[in-house]
Amino acid sequence: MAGRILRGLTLLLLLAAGPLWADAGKSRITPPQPSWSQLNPEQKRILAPLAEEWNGMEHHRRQKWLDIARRYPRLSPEEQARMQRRMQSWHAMPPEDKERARNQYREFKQLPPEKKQEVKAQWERYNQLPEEEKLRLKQKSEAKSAPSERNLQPRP
Amino acid sequence: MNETQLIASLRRHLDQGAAQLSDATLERLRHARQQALAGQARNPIRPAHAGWLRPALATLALAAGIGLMTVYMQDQQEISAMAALDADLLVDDLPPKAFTDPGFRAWLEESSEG
Repeated sequence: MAGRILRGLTLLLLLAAGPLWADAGKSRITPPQPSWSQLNPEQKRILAPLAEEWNGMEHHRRQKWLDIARRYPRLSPEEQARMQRRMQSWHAMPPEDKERARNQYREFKQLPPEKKQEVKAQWERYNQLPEEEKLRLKQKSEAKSAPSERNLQPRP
Repeated sequence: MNETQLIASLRRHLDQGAAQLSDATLERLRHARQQALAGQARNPIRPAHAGWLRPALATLALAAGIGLMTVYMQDQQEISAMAALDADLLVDDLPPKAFTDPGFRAWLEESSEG
């Protein structure tokens, strides 16, 4: 009896620790997610920009995208088109860039509406700048802070 | 047919069935019974240590199970929260690039200083 419990316990611990070893602590315990061919037509239509990458994706990422696909029908047609346009480049972005973007977006969302409008107007202006001016700003920003500390600090 | 008659009839049937068993079958039944009795005699009681080992391991297994479940629930919540944030980020007026572009950060700083 004790031997059977011990075997069961070992199995349980292996099951628990397996996913953690699989991907250096970055992985999450996620139930297996469907492959591309197992998605329903609606999911395939929404996630079409990710069709090529889907089967190589970790299960927790697939789960996240399926969650996003469930939100998709509630968006306006314009937002739907925008989301699909951005899916691929967002997925392809290096994880540390995505993490930085999420952190800064969280900060941005906290801003009062007029501040948000100001940032948006500045983005338009920034995009009108000549390339050499953008490069100067980029170099200035990179010289100023170590890569790990490059965060959008809220202005006083 | 009343109850007593029914029981008597059943008993008769069973007795007849038992009487018709072949010698080989009877021998196999006798052998199986002896083996079962011998097995019981070999392991009359459990070893003393099993008394604490079993509940201890059961508790440990339960704790591991609860731990696993907690991590699972946390992960599910994180994935769901990340999906909500990413969905907002992907439809915002500002593109995701605006939140990673170091040049734009410097531009914001300069324009707020000037």
